[in-house]
Amino acid sequence: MSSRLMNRTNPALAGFVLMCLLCVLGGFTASAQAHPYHESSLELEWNAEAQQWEASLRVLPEDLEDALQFQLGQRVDLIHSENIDQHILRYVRKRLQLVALDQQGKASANQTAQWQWQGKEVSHKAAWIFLTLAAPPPPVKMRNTLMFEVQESQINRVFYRVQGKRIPFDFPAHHGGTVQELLPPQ
Amino acid sequence: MRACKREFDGTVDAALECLSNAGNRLTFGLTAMLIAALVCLNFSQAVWAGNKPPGEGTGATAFAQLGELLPTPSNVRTAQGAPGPEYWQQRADYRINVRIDDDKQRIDGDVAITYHNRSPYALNYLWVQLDQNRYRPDSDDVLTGRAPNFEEFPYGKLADLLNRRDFDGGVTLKSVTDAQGNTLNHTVVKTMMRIDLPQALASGDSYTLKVAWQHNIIDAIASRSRGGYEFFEKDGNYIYEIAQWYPRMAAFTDVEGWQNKQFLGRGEFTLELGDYEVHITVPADHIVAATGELQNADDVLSSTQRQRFNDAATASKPVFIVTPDEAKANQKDDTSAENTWIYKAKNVRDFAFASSRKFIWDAWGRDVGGRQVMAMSYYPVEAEPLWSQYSTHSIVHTIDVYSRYTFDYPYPVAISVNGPIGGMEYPMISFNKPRPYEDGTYWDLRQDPKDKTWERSKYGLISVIIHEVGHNYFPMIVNSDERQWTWMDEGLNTFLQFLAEQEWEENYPSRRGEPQDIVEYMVSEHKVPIMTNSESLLQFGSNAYAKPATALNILRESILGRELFDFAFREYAQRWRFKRPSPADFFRTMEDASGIDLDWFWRGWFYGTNHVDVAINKVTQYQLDTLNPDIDKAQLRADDEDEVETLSKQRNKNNEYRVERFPELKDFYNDFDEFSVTPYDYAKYQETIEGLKDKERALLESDHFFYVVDFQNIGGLTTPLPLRLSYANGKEELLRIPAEIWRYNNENVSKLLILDEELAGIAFDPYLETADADVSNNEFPRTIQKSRFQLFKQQEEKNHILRAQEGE
Repeated sequence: MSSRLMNRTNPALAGFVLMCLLCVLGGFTASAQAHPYHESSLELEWNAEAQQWEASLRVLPEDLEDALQFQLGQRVDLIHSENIDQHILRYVRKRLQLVALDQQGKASANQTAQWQWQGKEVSHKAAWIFLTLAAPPPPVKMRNTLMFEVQESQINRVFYRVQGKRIPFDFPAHHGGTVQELLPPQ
Repeated sequence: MRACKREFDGTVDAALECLSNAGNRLTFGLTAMLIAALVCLNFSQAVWAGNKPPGEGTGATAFAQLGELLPTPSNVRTAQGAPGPEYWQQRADYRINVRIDDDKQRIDGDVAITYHNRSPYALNYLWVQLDQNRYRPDSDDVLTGRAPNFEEFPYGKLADLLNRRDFDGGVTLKSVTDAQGNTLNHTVVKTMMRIDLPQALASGDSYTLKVAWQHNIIDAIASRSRGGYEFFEKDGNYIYEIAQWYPRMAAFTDVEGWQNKQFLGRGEFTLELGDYEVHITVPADHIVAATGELQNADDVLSSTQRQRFNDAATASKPVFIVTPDEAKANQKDDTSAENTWIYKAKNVRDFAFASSRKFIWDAWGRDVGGRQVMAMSYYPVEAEPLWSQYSTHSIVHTIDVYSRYTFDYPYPVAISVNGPIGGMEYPMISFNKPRPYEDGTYWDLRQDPKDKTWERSKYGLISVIIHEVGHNYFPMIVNSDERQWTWMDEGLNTFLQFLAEQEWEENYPSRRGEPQDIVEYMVSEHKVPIMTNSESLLQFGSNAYAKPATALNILRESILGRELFDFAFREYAQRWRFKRPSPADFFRTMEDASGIDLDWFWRGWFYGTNHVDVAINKVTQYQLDTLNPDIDKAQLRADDEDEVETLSKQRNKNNEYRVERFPELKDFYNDFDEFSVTPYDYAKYQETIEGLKDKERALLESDHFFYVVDFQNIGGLTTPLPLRLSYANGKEELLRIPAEIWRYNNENVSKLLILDEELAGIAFDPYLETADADVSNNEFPRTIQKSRFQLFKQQEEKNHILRAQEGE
């Protein structure tokens, strides 16, 4: 189901889609323990030697489970569900993208490579997802809408490790801040 | 005066070079030649160069007294932060009849409220809260909701909005009368109602009013509300968790007058304390859990259940009053008969209850300060086996720990109910949502200590119960105003939650409390001070829960110390138990009882949005000149030999020098050894030594090391400086410098360390206690921080090696 549906002018179709969603959602929003904060954190670094982005994504496990439930239409858990790693990877690929910036600072249209799975660690406190991406090299623009569809208070923090610094960027669902240039310190 | 010194600017390169040159020992080969030892201490290089350090004077702002930010003290609220001799608060007693319609999911109720005007003022009208009006489709909550981000397809938000649009919510008032049944003029204003009194209610008088009403119960799963029902499709049953459900007197206080913040959803509530008698009518096969003590056990419990209840009071572990098997059998049938459960509660600010035929019920009596408290849990079979093992134990643990830090738990029961509400607190009763994962193998999983899913359910449940039961202390008893300040209950409670979690087991995985866990929030862009009204907070959870909890943890561990902090915090809790504190009362009490001015701390952590980031930028060693020419000239020679030989000099060594070819060109200075000790030097030394006072001479002969450490406050938030000094001989020492070192200059400060040993390295915040955001600039010499990805890869490699070894 794509967000483009929402832009169409056919209200009947949009209404139908939402009704379907409500059926699906009814059973699911209760699945996770409620907590009043919804945050993810992504540490990202370009490894010049290996020519790849190396990323550690930290999420609250319940939030990611909620997001995957919306996607898959069934309840999942991050450890036991079948093919869960592939589901997570597919979800991250959809909602976390890096595109190249040219000399003029103009962003290209598409990400040229796909995130590759490196591993995960899940505990009560946090779930860590480890990923690599071969291209494009910096400078890049990031689109980060992880879990924006679940909680309007979702905020995704990004820490770009570059030149010995760790530069913070916020991607809050509510402010529409979905795309940002990852620039090194001035 | 001659002075030569070597400094390190703190960069990794300089430090590494230093390390390699000195064979793993950091030496600061400086000799400052000064006329007299005492002069050396008074005149730093910077003064001679005339450099004023940037930021001079900024300490005045950082350390300014809160002054005008706080309300003027009075005899109602004193400058000490205590209730004064003229302190007053209102009181309201309730007698309620309520019936749950299990077919239509509806509440029918009538209430008689007796309102006691203990204020010094006469009141022409009374305000009553009708929180259920938040669920009207035209409520301010709905109307002022901001648009979701449609590009990202906001499933959750849309589902919520559509549910709210379709739900016939809000209060239907059937009558509003005085005690005699005469209709009272009343005006509903959104989530509140004004009742116009026929005559002003004089100070000290009481007035009884009656309201009959009806409202539909909301689907709590779909709406994420604080009360409502959960429907179980499998067996056709409901769990009701009923809260914010009856007309409640709005608070009237010396701080705000009548409470006039409408209910928008976040600012939970502020209410008056009072006594309750509530008659709850439900299907006869339901079990009811409620604020207060059951008055008619003989009418609603079987003799077996009553016997079990009595046994539980003195048992050594929780006892089932309704067993899992009985609950399973119970949920198969339905009944049209009804029972009325009567509960009474004294000195509570609200009343909530839960009802279902699905409930398992366990209880465990505990002695708290010589009084018996029944800790009880109510949950469906879906919550098993997690709940029977952990819920009641978690309640008891909470009471044990919180009572130690505040006051003895004053109520007769403490309850945890499993249902649709994620985690919500009311007096004596809380609603907690976590259940085990549904794969049918929980018992087996629990045997496997590595299984992270079981662990997650377990810790999720324990944490939320500690938090919600903990709310009995803040804000149910220390009755702060949640409509104004979320942090006053959530922040203080999250702080104690952290302490209680850390007493559950070693290394309990607390999500909040440790300083390093708040760092990411502290450096984020979209944030407002803690001292912001509940409804305008950005990053609600981090702002009002995690940040104040962490701040208090830092105040306790690093600023006041545990003993001083615990005394002051307990004093605050005891001063304001069953009373209504404001933020100033908390700030003032903590200072008054600890004897430490903390205005800089409140200013930085509660009124500001800066973060902690301190860098050690430079370490300079000053070595006192002994003036003894035998020692000093030898040192000068050693320093000279240490000088780097430039490339040109190295290559020029084989030059055929002109002065060698023509010796007549040489004079005295060609052969003079400038480091040789001459009779003149001895004479000069004697003369100087004789001129010194005894004290000065002793200082010269002492064997001290002098270091000046330059700190920069990059983050702006004032912090104490816990330092670890590592000596060249391998020893370590912890030095704690109070935050007041920043009181002149909050940006840059230099500290002189006089040490008996030679220093090899120095680290700021070695035990991660200050929430310092950038640890890469904390150590001297610098160390390189690995990324989380690199650590993961290292760990993986280690695991591979281990696995390979195990395979051999």
